Amino acid sequence: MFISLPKKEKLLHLGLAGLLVLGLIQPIFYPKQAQAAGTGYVRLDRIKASTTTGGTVCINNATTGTEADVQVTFPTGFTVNTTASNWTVTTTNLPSGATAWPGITTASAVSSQTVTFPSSDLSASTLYCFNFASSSTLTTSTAGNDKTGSIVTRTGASAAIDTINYAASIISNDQIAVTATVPSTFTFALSGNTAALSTLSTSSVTSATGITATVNTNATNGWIAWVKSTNGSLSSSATSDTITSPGSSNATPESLAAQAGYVLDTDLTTDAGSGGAVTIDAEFNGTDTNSGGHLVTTFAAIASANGPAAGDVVTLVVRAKAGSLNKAASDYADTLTVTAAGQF
Amino acid sequence: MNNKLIKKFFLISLVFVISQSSTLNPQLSYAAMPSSANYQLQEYSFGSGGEDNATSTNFKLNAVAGEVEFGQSSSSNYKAGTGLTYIMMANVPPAPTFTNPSSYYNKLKIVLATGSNPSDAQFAIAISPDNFSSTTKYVQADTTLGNSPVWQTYATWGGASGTNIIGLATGTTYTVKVAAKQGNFTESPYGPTSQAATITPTLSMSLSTNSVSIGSLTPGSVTTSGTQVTTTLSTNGTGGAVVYVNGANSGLLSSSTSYTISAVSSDLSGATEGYGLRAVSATQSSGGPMESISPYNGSGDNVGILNSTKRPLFDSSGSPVTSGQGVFELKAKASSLTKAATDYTDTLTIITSATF
Repeated sequence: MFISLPKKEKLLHLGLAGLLVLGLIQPIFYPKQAQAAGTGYVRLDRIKASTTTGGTVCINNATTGTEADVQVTFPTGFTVNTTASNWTVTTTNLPSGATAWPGITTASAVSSQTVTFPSSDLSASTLYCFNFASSSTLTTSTAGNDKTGSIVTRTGASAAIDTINYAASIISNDQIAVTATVPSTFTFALSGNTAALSTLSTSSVTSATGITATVNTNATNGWIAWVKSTNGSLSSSATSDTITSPGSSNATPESLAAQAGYVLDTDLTTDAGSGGAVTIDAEFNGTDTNSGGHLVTTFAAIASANGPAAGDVVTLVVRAKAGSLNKAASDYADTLTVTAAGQF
Repeated sequence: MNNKLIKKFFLISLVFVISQSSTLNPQLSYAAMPSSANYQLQEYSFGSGGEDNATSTNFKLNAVAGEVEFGQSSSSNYKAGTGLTYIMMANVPPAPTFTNPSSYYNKLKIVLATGSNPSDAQFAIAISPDNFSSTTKYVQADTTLGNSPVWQTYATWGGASGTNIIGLATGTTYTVKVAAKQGNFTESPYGPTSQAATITPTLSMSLSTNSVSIGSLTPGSVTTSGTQVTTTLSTNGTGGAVVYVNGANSGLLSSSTSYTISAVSSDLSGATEGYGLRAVSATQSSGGPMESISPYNGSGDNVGILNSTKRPLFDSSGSPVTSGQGVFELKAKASSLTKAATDYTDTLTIITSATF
């Protein structure tokens, strides 16, 4: 005898009945899938023929079992060092997505082509990897493809759990030598070619407007700039008188504060970053507006840098002071030759 | 639908489930016997008596007295089955279709032939690497090999699509044969055999060159190597192959100036200075497909870093590949401060491995 059921209960019974039948017929339409086989690989650090190498061993095991060790068999023709203690392992710098192989330690045995590493139990469907050292362990064979070996995880009773067969390719040269040249570059520019001192005073030092010298170079050891005076003095052709450059080249600037004379002051304007450091030669590194370096008729270094330059700038300032006995003339002149070179 | 019908549908479903459940009724005790809508023949025997299902701890007995229980006379060409046992047997399955469709090295595909047995008949697959001369294994439910036969229906063995028998040895010819049964006392002999062979795992790789000159680097401009490098690989690894690259100097090193144009992962067109590798193309004859991997898969002057870390450069998308080719080039840019030298060098190491 059936009793009238509430609507909810009707639906519940219908649902349960449907589920029960569905559970029975489901395997007919969706047969049980085969268990995936384990996968793995051995990645050698070098695949050049007859070359010592380390490597990485990875496995994604599929079979349930309690692993106690893993045996890696290298292809025939590889030279396998038989000292087990050489076969040290690490679990750093593993391939992306890999998990450090639990319990992996230095090899416990080496027999022929097979090296046995102790292992802890592995979970299924996890990619485990470890690296073995390259020093005194493995030497690749002669060149050739399809060099086969195996990775076998085993139980404590030495029963195989997962067996992965792999192949390696050994080639005559696995390296590419890359070469390139960076050509030498050097540019040097002066902002002007005249330095007018105008009327000289006998009581104060007159300075010409500075002339900048800009250097760009990729010279490894930087650059050097020199100056040479044609006359070593300001000379008047009309009077044959000279205003000499006082002092000597002694790495100390000459001051015109208390004497007449003609000097060149060199100032550091820009020491461009990321390159070499600029140094003003001590002789020409005037300390004030009265001082500068002794000018001579041979090239004398005025500034330098110890590395490449990308816009180093020094400013050259000519200074002069007339003596009370210097003959009046409007043609006192000198010609300075400024040069520079990169030290490659 | 009224309540009565609902209740009836539920109860019928429940009974159907219980009757089919392997947990509640782990073994149907009788062979499928001739039947009609109203009757089912429980015994074939017309003898003076017998036993249709006597059991002990270790044995089951189906016997008849007064007539032939089992006879199997044979000659060199024919075999005759007589008696009750022969009548009750399932049909002997024909040779299965046994193939290696995709150069498998550790598995083979089998499709059973039912031999006109009914859909609830079960089949066991025996397999041997030596044509059953000394070694016989059986395919298990998970399609690995085991020491005892596993009986499953045609549908569970994959039906017309078949299934892959896994865990096989490489480079080995296997022989299979199939038996059928439909309940106790009905197991057929194993049928005719089929053979298929696994292949050896394969991996090959080559490089088109072992030297590349980027040439003269004009400060401020990106320079590309005139020579492109082609890596070619083939593998039957089920997980495909990967080509890795690493650099020895983390850049282009000039020993004479002790200066390094550092390797970077960036767009060199916007960088002051740098050096790196860019994948140009990835192709294959079949399988794969080959693909370039970040950070080397950029366009234009985008390059990937080269240092001591082995980084994937190309892979075959996790699949076997034939004549997969990856082409790459090298690019560098010097700045105005990059020290002049003619001896900028790096050494790239290209390796490959395949997942089997």
